[in-house]
Amino acid sequence: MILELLHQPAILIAMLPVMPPLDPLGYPVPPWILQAISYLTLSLHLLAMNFTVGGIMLLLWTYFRKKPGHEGIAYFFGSSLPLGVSYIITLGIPPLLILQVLYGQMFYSSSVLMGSFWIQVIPLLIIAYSLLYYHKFSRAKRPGLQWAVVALALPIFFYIEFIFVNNLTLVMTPEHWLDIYAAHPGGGVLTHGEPTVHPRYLLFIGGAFAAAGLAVIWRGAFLIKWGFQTIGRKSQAFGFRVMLITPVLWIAAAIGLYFARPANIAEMLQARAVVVLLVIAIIGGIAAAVFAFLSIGKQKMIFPLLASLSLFAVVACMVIFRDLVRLHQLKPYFDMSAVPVQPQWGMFAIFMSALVTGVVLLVMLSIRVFPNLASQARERLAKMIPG
Amino acid sequence: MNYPFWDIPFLGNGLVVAIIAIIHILISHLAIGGGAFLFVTELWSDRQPMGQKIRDWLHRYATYFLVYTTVFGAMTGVGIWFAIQLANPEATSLLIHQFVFAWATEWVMFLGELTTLYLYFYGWQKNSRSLQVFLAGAYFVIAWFSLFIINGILSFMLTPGAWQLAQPNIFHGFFNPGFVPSLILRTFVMFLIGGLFGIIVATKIRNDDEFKAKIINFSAKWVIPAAIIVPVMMLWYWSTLPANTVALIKGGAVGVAGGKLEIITRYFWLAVVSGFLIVFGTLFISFRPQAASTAGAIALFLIAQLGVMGAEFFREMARKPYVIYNVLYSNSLWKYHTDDQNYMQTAFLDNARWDPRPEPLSPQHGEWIFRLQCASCHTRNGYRSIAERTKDWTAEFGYRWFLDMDKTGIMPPFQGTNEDRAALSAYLVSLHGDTTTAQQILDQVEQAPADSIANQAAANDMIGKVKP
Repeated sequence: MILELLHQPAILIAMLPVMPPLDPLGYPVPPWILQAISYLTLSLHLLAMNFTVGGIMLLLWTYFRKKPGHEGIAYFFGSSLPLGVSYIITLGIPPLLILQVLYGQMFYSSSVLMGSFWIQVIPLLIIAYSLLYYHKFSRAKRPGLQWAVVALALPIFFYIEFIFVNNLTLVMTPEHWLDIYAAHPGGGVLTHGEPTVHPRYLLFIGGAFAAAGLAVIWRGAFLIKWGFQTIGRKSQAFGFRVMLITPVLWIAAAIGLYFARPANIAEMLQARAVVVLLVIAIIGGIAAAVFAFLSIGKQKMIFPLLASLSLFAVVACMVIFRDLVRLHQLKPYFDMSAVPVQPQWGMFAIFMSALVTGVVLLVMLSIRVFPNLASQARERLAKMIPG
Repeated sequence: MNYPFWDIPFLGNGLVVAIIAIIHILISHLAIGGGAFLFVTELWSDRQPMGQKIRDWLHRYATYFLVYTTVFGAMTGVGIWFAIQLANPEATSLLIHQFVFAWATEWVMFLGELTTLYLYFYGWQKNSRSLQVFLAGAYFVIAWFSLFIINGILSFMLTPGAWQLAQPNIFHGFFNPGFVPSLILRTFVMFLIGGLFGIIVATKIRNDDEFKAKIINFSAKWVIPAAIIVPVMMLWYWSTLPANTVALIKGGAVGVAGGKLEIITRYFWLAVVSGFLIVFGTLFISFRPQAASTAGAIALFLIAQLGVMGAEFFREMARKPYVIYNVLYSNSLWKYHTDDQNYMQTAFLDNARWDPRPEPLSPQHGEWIFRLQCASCHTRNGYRSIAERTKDWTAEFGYRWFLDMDKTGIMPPFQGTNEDRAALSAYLVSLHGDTTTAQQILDQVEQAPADSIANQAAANDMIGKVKP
């Protein structure tokens, strides 16, 4: 009987008494389907996060370096950052849901072990999100200490990202769990001595500059299209320079990752999939930079679009690599292919139809509304910038 | 009992879930009822001579609505999810594995809600009238479907109906006996809350008493009918509850349970009384609209928050001793395991596994049993304090009481050996200074086997007198 089988404490996990057994219901569809959905939505989630965190940094930068043209960039980020947070949350839901289906017994355990930190994500994100809305709605009326409002939000986002990186590395190191729990049953442990935490964290933060820089390039393309040549071009050049910070940080992170676990990385590089991912990521990174550069001074949307797709490809490669590392590291305790599948195809079909219908409807509505939003922005700009 | 337990002193992790959930439920109902309010007000404004003025006011409503629901609503929603992972991973895992695509579909609704709301709000100045009306309507319909989905999962936890763990049928679980009454109940509650929010925003109108009165009366029409229908719906919902729950709420207070469940009755009444207060408050405001203040309107909103609190604690208590009725106990003991005598009499820490192997019969042995078997409902000295509940206990009494505690109807059966019971009882009485050791308890019991029958009878008699 499947139920009893799954509740045997030790089929896969004889070596590790604390590893919880699989959920009695098994997987609802073959895992590759869930992985694919998770890779797509997690990559989009990370891009939204990078855009927001990078946007906060650039917004702060414009508060301190008051150059001509910077007000426009400040206005742009000030208006769009709350939306960025909204889509961070929304796009974060599917990967978190799927993480719990695929890796539930590891993820719940690690979350409880750091429970007192994990739960902080909620109030902190409410505070940071409110700060960005407060900034958006009050910047015109009360310009005084607006930089401080934004400056408060930034460390909150950095801290939340750190909490996530720690939880998702703790997921992969069940051998430490029992000791951590016995010492801190209140879930009061944030870091746990995993050497890859800091380089991983740097990978997270590093992408912020690329995403926010690219957003500024998009903005520039629209400005040029609407006839604001000079500021459009400036905006794009600024965006391109900002993007270049990312490869510096990512290369540093990659070196850090290698030195943190040289044997593991060398072992991972034996796998052909990993090499393919690495090659795609490098090509994608170069392509993103080239297309971003080609965007400068042009109103054509094709170059920013190609740059965005290239950046998406890089992030997606990192997401997949991360999953492969996780599966590899959990191998002694967990084998995804051994988890029974109790198919829920009917529910899956309902979900997919809702998704397709929903996306089609939202795209159609957006196509109707965007010209209105654009003409509004254009009128506002015309008032701000004569000619 | 496969997971570590998140041991929060004083509050207990269940209360962390409750605090987040109570805030979320009011806002999430507003997020839907307010959507209906936007849509209907859009239509209404087209038929009024002062249509533009109404829409200018509606923009204000939409601004508060957008910030309040997208920041606090969305985040507390995710917050419940974070908190239940920590408070009850076993139940969360089961719900996620059974309903993952229901949740994924709800996520599509969520994405749709946000995007249509943003298109509606940011396109306010330039969108055509028909587009705005369509967007508001689309927002409401999509948001209501997100309620439809989450309602299936929530009502499943209390009334799983024909659903079975061994042969899980998701449609039985989703369209469970509580599904329809709960959906209709929540739908009326959300109209009520959408209207109350309208009254708050209407009190912001200055220097135009006539217009203020018009908007307040319009909003009151959302509140009063809903507030009258809600109690009727509650009675219907009541009829779908498990018999055990109904017994506990009704006569249970004295009969079966010797006063122990007055709390559940109190929560139920809190919900009912808030409903009455809202009707009277709203009537008062609509008779004297010009005098209505923002503070007064917010007070009504907070009364609704109290009502929600009552209803949610009621729902949570009504499930006792289960987290998923008849499937999984609140402390993560599976119901099907309780039929397996071998499992039930295995040493508890061999099943639970998340302990540092304390020395048998030591105080730590008792503490780890408490943490992994009891603490999901009881804190040591805070919320549902175990020290308070056991203050009259002798160590030997506890040892005997555990054996039959499930007969109270609100406690799960004890899982473990005689040594486990002795260790736990010694730990509990040590919380109020009794120094009896687990070994002493076992010795006493062994020395007085004849007496133990009388003791057992005394313990049985006590069962009804202990608070959950």
